[in-house]
Amino acid sequence: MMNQYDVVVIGGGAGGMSSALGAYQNGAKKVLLVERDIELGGILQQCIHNGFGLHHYKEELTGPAYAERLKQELMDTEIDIKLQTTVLKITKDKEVHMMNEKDGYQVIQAKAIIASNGCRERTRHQIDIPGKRLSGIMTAGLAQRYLNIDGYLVGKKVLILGSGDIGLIMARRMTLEGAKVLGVAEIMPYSNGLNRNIVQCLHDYDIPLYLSHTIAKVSGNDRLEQVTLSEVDEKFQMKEGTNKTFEVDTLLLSVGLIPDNKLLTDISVKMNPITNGAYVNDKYQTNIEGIFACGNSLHVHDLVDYVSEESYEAGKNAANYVLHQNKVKQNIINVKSSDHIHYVIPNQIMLDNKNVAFKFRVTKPMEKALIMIKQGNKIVIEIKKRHLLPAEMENVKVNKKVFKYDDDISIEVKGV
Amino acid sequence: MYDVIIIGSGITGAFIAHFLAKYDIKVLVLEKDVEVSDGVTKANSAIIHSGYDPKPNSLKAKLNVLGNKMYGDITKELNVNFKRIGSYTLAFDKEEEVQLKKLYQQGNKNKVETYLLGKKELRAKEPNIKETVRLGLYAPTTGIIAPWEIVYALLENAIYNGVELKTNHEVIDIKKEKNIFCVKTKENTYYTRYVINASGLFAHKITQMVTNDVDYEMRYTRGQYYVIDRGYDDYVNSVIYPTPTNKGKGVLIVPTIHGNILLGPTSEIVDNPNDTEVTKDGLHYIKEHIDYMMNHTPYKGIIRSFSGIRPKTSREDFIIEELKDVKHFIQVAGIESPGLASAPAIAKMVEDSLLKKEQLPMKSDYRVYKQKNLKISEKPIDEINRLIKQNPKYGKIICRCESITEGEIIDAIKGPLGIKTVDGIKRKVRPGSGRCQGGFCQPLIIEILARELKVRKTDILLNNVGSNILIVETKQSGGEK
Repeated sequence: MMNQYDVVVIGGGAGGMSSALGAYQNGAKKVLLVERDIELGGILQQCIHNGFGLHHYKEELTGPAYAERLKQELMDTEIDIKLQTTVLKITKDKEVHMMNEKDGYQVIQAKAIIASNGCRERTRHQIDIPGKRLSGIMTAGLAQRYLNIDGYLVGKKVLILGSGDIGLIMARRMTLEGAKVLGVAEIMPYSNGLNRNIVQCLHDYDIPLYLSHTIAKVSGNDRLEQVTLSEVDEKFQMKEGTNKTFEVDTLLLSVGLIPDNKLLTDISVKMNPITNGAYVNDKYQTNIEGIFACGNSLHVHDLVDYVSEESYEAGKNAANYVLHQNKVKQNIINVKSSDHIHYVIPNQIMLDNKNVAFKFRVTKPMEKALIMIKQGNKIVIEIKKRHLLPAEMENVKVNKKVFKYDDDISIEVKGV
Repeated sequence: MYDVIIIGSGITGAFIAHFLAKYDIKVLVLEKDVEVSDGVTKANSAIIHSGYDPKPNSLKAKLNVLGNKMYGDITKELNVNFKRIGSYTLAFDKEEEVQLKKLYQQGNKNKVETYLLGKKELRAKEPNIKETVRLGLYAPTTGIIAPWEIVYALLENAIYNGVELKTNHEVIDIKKEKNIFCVKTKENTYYTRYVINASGLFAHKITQMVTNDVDYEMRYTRGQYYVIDRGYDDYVNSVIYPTPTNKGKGVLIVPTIHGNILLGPTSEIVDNPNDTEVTKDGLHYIKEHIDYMMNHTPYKGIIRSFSGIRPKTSREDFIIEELKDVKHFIQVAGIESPGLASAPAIAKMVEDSLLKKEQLPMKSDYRVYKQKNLKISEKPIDEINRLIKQNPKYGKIICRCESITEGEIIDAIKGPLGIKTVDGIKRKVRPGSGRCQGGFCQPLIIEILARELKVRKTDILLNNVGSNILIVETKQSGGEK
């Protein structure tokens, strides 16, 4: 007899914990949370800096403290938790195949599955960094784990490529642990991190930020010895005669995150090529009924607070799906991103009287901009914004009553 | 005192060790790197070519065709993954078409099964071949293998049967006194009656230690590659070659035995055998040549790029011979493409040359060491559960991308080869070969290695000496001085 659950949540980070809570608190009776690590919390556990929870808990917490809050909430429920358990595959019929040391290989039948298994870091190979394969070149998140979980520094003289938040945080963290950080290089003419991190992690420690720079070469014998940076033009081509060489033993890469979705792509869930996450409707349901996606495996968030909010909703919707099998098929309309909008989530909404949160990112930094939510050619909502940055996800809540037609919805932004 | 010392633990040295393991003689393999299979063997196209391509009557032709045939039995005996998936060599213009027809004739001469196919048949078999294709040469015996996997299996079998292996032992000098060779490494001196030089990119340097008469020049030829993630099975089913030119086989598309796709190689002469850089130009060259042949190449799935160096020599053919002026010193040099395909036949040839010199007694207790527990997560559920009951570590996934368990990793560390490094583990059981490239599993691999080998985490190497990953322990009392 196969073990049965209403909702199985894959991943025990902020997204997984929040969605399990969402499912349980909205009526799902049997909920299982599966986590591969030895404890819940996911990547929050290695993010020992603060800045988490300002929206969700209205106070500033460290990553582990934020995870602890969610864990405490879970403890007050009857949600089953399996740690050190890896989900190997799921099926379209919502079987969950998983494995651990104690129970062996188990197959569980779920009524709904929520994939909230996070993202991975882009590596040097996805951006074609030239040069040899050397020890001392690694992703910033891996170096963060070594330092904050395992207690080891990966090098003493460091250069960082990419001004995403992990890169900035690691510039400060390595400095505090006694390493010398010689600079952060960013190929774009602007930083990709949150503004507060530029100030608190670079300016406060006199670490130079090289905008419009990329790596021309890495060299060394078995360990990294030298990195050469080059300035780039508007087309990201290296400019001759702009090379700068740095004697470093470590190069950390903070060059983007990719939602990890092998479990979903293996069963041909429809994916969004821009986000590398699933196409979802405003219930966070994928094109396969009863399979939901949220958190960083749906799209990469810059704030964990938004992960929690989104995932709680996904959990609630999964519970509703299980309880009511609501198969509302009518009045589904598409949501599209348009001028200067990189992507928008959800990709589809159901017309009813409820609220929807549109989450999107702009393609370039903008000052004094006008965000327009349109249906067909008609502007339904306009929002003025002083600054818009690609690094900062916009989150606009709308009551769906305003959408009166069957036309597609599009989100646009323009300068004013 | 040894009977035979083999210098080098790449595919050639490993096959030779394997064939000599059944004889009751003392054999030692010396390897300069920390792990075996760390040179030419770890970075090439991973194809067991069919053998229509080499010039008829050359050693390359003879040994490639024979080697290809031998792979079936050997991989079965040792339980190593090997598949004959066939290959298509494609012509896109008149000139290439003429060349391809010549290759077909050559295939007949080399006694390799080949067929000429038209555009329609080709595109029915491989829909992503471009509409501009005119003719294709199909070779059903082309196979794929993970080169290091077979090396690990061959050496494990050899060691299990009494062959000795010393890694991190670079040969720095060889002297011959009377009929005995004195082989010096940095650490030690070893004596032997025979030396087999299977040292790949360094073959000429090793031979120079015993003679001034090295009659070839080494031309280090670099090949750059891309690796594409698993999960793009719709792209190709077989190996795809362009029509070869005098520069070599060209830029290929190779489905790997583990479900990845290789794109490459380039072909560039470099000065230095350690110049395994990838370059912007090289990677661009690959894409350009692939796009000439194929539609819908899933570049989006690229998870890695790498370079390997091939030991081409000025003599162009393989060099497998006893030195004229130094008896009992057998040189195996210039083992470039199709070296992997030819390796078993090359080793057989070396074995035969030894047998011609003297009769070698057989071991009475020779037993084959079969590879076991490969890829736990792919076994039937009942078997997985049986294994987990025996050893719970088989239930713990360490590498999430490739679904590799802790049990498999511990087996690799405790196996006959005694793997010590992160890259060694990666080659043996694959953690770190997937889309995260070790971003998630590397800390766990280091932890398991340090625990099992009873060393500090800061001692664990990525590959060679000096490639430590963790530099300073921050939480020790008093900090690092």
